[in-house]
Amino acid sequence: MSIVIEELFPEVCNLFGDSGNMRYLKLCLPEAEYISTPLNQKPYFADNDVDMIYMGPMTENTQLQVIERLKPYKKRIEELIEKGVIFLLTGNSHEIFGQKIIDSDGTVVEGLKVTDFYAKRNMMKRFSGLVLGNYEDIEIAAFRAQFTEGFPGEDYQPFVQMTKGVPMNKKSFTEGYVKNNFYATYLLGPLLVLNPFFTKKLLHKLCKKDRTLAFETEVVRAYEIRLEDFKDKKVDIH
Amino acid sequence: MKKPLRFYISVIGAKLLIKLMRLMKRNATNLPGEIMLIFYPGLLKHFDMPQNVIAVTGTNGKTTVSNMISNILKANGYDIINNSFGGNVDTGIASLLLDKCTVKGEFKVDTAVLEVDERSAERVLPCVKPDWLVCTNLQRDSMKRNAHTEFIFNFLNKNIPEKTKLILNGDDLISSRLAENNPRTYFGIAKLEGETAESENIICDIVNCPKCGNKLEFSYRHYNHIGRASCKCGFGSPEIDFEAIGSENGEAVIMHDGKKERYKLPNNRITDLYNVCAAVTFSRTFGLSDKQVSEAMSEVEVVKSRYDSFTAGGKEVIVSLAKGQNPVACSGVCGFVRKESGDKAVIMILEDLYDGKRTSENIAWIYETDFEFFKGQDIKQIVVGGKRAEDYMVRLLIAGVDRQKIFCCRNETDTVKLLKPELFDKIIIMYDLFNVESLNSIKAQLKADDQIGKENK
Repeated sequence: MSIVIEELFPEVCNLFGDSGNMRYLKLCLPEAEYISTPLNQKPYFADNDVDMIYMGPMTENTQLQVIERLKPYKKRIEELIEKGVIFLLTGNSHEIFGQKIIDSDGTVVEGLKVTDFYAKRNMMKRFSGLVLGNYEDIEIAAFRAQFTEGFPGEDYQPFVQMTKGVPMNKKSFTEGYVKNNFYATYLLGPLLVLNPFFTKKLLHKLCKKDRTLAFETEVVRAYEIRLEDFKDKKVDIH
Repeated sequence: MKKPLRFYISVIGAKLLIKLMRLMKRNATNLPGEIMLIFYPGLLKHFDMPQNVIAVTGTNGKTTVSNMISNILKANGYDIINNSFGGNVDTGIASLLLDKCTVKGEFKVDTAVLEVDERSAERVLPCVKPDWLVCTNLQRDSMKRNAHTEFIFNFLNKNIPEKTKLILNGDDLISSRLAENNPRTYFGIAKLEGETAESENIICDIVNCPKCGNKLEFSYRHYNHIGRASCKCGFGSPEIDFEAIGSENGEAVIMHDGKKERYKLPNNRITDLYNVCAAVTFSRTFGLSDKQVSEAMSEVEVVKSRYDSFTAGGKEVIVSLAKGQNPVACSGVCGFVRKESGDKAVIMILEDLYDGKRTSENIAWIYETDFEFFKGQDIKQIVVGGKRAEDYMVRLLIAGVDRQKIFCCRNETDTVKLLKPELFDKIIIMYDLFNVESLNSIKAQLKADDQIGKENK
């Protein structure tokens, strides 16, 4: 049975080079079945089994539309998370699944309430910079650029335990959170290209065995150079 | 109107500082404005602005268009001030106004042409209250500064004064909706040969109807989201007042009121055609005749820092600004490279040295840039220089470029040595504004033709 990977709303959830993630995944795992669901269509996962769901960052208006679009499938999403389906949600896309987004003017956007997460948004303040840290036994080196600070709730399991960079809120030195295989991260851009060992981990979860990445030598070389760069004390976080 | 004492102190202080800086042979482009805006943040609203104030903004093309407009107005007898020296944020504009005004904050010129960075709109437009605002386009730009087009649109939209007359790109369904109650004139380009509704670009910043949310139907696209589209709800691209129908013999042919008008086109890329269209549309709507504009345009040249060409070692060399961190502008240059005839080598020096000085450059933007255009057989070599060269290597591989064609070096100026001159007859250099020093070194090496491919000889 083939591996099924669904990309949600790629025509609007693709703001910061994040479409590179799926382009790269397709090269790493060409035998998988890729389903690309536009915003105006029913998600494939609603009626079918999938192995992975990916969604990238979007504008603040699009967040409202996506919440409306996914609302009817809240229970199904919860079921898939419990089943261990991989969710990779980059940039602000994971805010959709949380409790709420609170704007600086007091406006509250209600999320899908699948997780305890909530965000505080200030459109006049941009949190940008690099993120260096660890996820399990691997080092993660990536970037964030967002208008929000994120608060994952009590007893969360961080995605990245940070060693350097701009955290997701001023109170914790962590980035994102993980629940089963639900990866909610503000890290954006071509995360899978920039972090080959994380990609290998995801591929192992999908294929139940080790896989060689596309252009692995070159991708690992670029990753090592970035790691070295990030660790350099002279390199500022933004 | 009575002005606060702090305004006069700012004017006098800035004038002294500018004089001092010039004596020290330093550019007074931003610092005087920056200091005086700290001293008196309300400074900009107290100038008695010239009779005509024209602001030019937009993601791409604003520098070229504001220079064109300045030249056209100057050639037609207007006495102008402009910020063509490069300071297009509030501090740069404050520096210009402080430098050129009298001690009372008045101006002896009749016209100001101000290039305004979109992010400075909030601090500039409500203060200088432009009579005219030209917006070239709104496209995806630096994620760190500009986030996304919806953010920039909202930001601009709420800061355009009610009486400002707009000159807008009718082929851009984002910027064409700015300040919908203001008077406006649209420019655009008709469908060109070979164009279809489909786009080969990675980025399209408007996919769904902003009124009803349904999918927009494009009838054709020039590039990215720039083209004509409509929705079944009735929303769609506006009617164009000045429409370029193409180019002939180095001239842009623009239809207006059923008549053809011709204007010198400094270069033949679609972005050049848009820039000419924007400048012509403003000038004609402002009240100049087609003859007055056409004669003034005959003097217009492309600034060499944006586009240049020469011959070196028997090879044609084309130098093009490609604006790092700006995926639409850079993709435009990738498209240009693809269209150039002959066997080509491409040198890319796009590292953001501004970011690179302090931090590690976020290279996400290269995944929105159409490097897929480099897959063609006529591109024989791609040489990438800079600290992020390995990232470009990966990006080019993902784009489908043959590994054998890609060469990398950490030092931008070493790129020339990696060229294999026997493979191509044309070299195209793509560079960012931050890399001019390296570019000059590369140009010098190419002109001393024994340096080409030295490492390979």
